[in-house]
Amino acid sequence: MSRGLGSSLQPVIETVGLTKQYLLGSVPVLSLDDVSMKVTAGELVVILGPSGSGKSTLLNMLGALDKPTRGKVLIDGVDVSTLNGPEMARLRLRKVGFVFQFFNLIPRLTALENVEFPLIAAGVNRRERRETALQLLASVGLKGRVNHRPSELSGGEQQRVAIARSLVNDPKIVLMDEPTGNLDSKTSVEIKAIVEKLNREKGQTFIVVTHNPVFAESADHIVHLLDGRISREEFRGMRA
Amino acid sequence: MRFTDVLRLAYRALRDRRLRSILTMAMVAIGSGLITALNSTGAGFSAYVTGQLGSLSPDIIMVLPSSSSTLRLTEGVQRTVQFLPDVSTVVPFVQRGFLTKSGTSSRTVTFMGIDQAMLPLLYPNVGLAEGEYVSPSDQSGVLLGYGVAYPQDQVTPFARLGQVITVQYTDFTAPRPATVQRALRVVGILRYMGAGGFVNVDSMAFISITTARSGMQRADVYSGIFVKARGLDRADAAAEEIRSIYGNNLTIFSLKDIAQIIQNVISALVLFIGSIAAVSLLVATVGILATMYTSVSERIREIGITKSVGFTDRDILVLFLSEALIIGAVGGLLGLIGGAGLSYAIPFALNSLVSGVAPSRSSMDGSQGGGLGPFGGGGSMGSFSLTSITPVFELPFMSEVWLFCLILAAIGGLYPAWRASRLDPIVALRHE
Repeated sequence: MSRGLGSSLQPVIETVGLTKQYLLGSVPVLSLDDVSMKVTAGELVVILGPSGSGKSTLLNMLGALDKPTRGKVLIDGVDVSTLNGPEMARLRLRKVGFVFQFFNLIPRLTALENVEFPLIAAGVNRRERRETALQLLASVGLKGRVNHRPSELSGGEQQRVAIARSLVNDPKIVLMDEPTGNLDSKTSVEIKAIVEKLNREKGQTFIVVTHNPVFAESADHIVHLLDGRISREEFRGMRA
Repeated sequence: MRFTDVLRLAYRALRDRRLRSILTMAMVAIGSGLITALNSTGAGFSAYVTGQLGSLSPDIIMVLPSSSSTLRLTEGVQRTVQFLPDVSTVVPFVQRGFLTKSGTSSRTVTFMGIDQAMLPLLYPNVGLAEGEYVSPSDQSGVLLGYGVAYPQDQVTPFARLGQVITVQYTDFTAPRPATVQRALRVVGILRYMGAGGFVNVDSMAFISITTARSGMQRADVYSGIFVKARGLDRADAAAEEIRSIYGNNLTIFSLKDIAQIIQNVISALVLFIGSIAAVSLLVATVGILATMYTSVSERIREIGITKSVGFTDRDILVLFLSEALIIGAVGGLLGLIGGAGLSYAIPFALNSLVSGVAPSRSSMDGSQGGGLGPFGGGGSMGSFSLTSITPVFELPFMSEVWLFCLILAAIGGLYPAWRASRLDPIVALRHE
């Protein structure tokens, strides 16, 4: 049972018996095995677990990048397994933002253009895109770096650009895969602070896969994964 | 996605791989440029030939002895032809190339011995720049074509009015053929004709038949005969009558024949180089394929990012296809422009190619009609000066070429774009 903003609310994400099986050569491997969980809107969820426990697979399912072998993923009430390719892309565009360990910015585009990028798929006009992107870059503290390319930015700055990009379509869910895995501890704390601030101000749901204990400290909801199963779930309620 | 955004993103991606993009565009440009240049030159040449021949009377035919025949064009032949029912006038001529000296310079000039009162018959717009025509009884006068008096490759005139020039030749009338030098006085210079027709008047010198036959040519043999038919539509009939008597011993050229021969050569040339150009466009298609394939391989991670933020497979297909299309469109357009420029240069290139071969032709035996016929004149193709060809640009054809470039670009870009669109975003995002 989830708490978050109040247990009466509909979960923004729900998985039911979620199972993903891969073929490693010809050997079937269960990456996720019967995972059922609910995430309430506005929660800051941290998913913990050793490598190979299925964290990234789970995140890909939650972000409509991949389909389950069995079971269901409901994103904002929509069952992903019933969607076709373009519908999944549409869902990612409207509801989901991704942040990756290796930032995954497009090298030839400036910080501003990288943040704007998803809005091109949405068909938003240029002026409006620019405005939204500038606001977000300001909110992650990069106002003065908007015209720099990723290669001219530090790791922490690149990750902040990536966070701004993940928020540009005003998604319900922001998924972060080891967002501080490639950053030093000081920068990690800064990133964590930004995530907390955004979570608090915008009420967006953040699901963070991480090894970093700093995120666990302030999480509302911690999911421990082991061998593709949920080994433990902690609910801490919303921060004061 | 908005159309302008697609263009902008595609342009950014191409700019990021600038050299490769430019080189691939160059491949397309070479193909479309060659095709454009060829077509424009070919069309220009056709227009030129038609225009030049159109200014001449279609009732004149030229009769030369066949190279395979032993028949000699004697006065007897001339008389026989003269009395044919469809023949109005017969103008015999002798022609030969000679080494000619004027002051310190010397060059090989084609001399024609002909009754000069008949020149306007052959060239209705012939006229004098200076002096006068050589009278039939004049044994030392010479009339120079404009290009002989004022050669294109020389700043100072070769010879002026009144000047004496020296001709060196082998005297066939002497008991034993011997090399002879003979002085001729320039009595007239023709105005510039731009040439067109049976012979290139500009590059020739005219003497009286008497002069020509007094040692410069065998006395009893003509090089050829111009025949004027009895009416504008009787040229074919006259040719038929001559053929019925002499069969294959004589070769008959009508203006139509010459035009046809030149057209055939041009068409063959255009077809030949055109097929090379077409092949180069096919190569460009493979070039686009290779460039785009490489580009996709290098941007797998970027494709993963693009998909993860919500672009559909179709969006990706459109983006990559647009890059290929931009290469095709820009390359094709540059080719059209470059080809248009090139088509102004081709006539000059061809001209220098032809004139490099010319001297050996004009020194041919006069009785074989050296320097005559469609490919005889020095520095020109037949009597047509190649440098006066203006290319003709056919816009519908050029737009077809451009469209063709786009289609080829789409073909070359389709597979890489399809491959990009089908990438699994999870695998693509993990790609190093």
